[in-house]
Amino acid sequence: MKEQEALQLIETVISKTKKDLTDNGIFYLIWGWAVFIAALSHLALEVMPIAYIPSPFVWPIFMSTAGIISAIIAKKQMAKQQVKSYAEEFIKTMWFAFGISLALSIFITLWAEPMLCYPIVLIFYGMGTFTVGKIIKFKPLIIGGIICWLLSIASLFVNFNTQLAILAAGILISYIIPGHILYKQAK
Amino acid sequence: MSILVTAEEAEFNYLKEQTKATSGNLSVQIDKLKKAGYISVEKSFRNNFPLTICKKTDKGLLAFEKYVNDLKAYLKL
Repeated sequence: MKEQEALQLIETVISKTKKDLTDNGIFYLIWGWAVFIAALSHLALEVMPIAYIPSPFVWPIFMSTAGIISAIIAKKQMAKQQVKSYAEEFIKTMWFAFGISLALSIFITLWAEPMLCYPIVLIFYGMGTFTVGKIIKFKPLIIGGIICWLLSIASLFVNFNTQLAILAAGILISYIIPGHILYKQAK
Repeated sequence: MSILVTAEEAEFNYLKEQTKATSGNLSVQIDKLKKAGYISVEKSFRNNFPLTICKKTDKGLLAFEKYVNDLKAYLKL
């Protein structure tokens, strides 16, 4: 029947468009793994120092690498992109504000009270992933966000090295796992 | 319209690929939808190539929803 076919065609096209609009999780994977490896490397260097390599050194290296890779991939994606979703503008703006807020909070806490640095970083991870998860209706990000918030409180009561381990766990649950799921779904 | 209702905006080439229409046919359809006030069309350039971006209008969304509801109502008879 013509009407039935019309309806089915509409449903098919809507599904295909939604699929083309989905996030492939690549940035969660890039930043997730970068922070995860940096946190664990920092922890390893605290526990087993290597001469002439100050342990916090790992952060600028991994973060700038992740930043450069992200910029290259973002440029490529934007050049190829032919269809845009409503949420996209909001999500991009949010991550930008997130980045600035994160950098400021790291600078301020390291200057004033270093033991608060990672708890506050976890608050921001929670905010970012929870918000995006809610907007795109993706449960792993929502759960990851909530867990980051819980971990941020937990990290108040432990020493610095344990905070690094908690940070690694937080990023694994809120970035890496959802990132892999998104990546797989996008295929 | 299904594509434009789902996304905020879509490029001409994307619409062409998804509908498997020819450039000529698609241009005609886009013109009709634009004249009906169902979509807006923005023409610009990217890397010296012409770029056409289509967005639905509120009027277009309402018309599409009515169309789908009419289809569903008809099929229930």
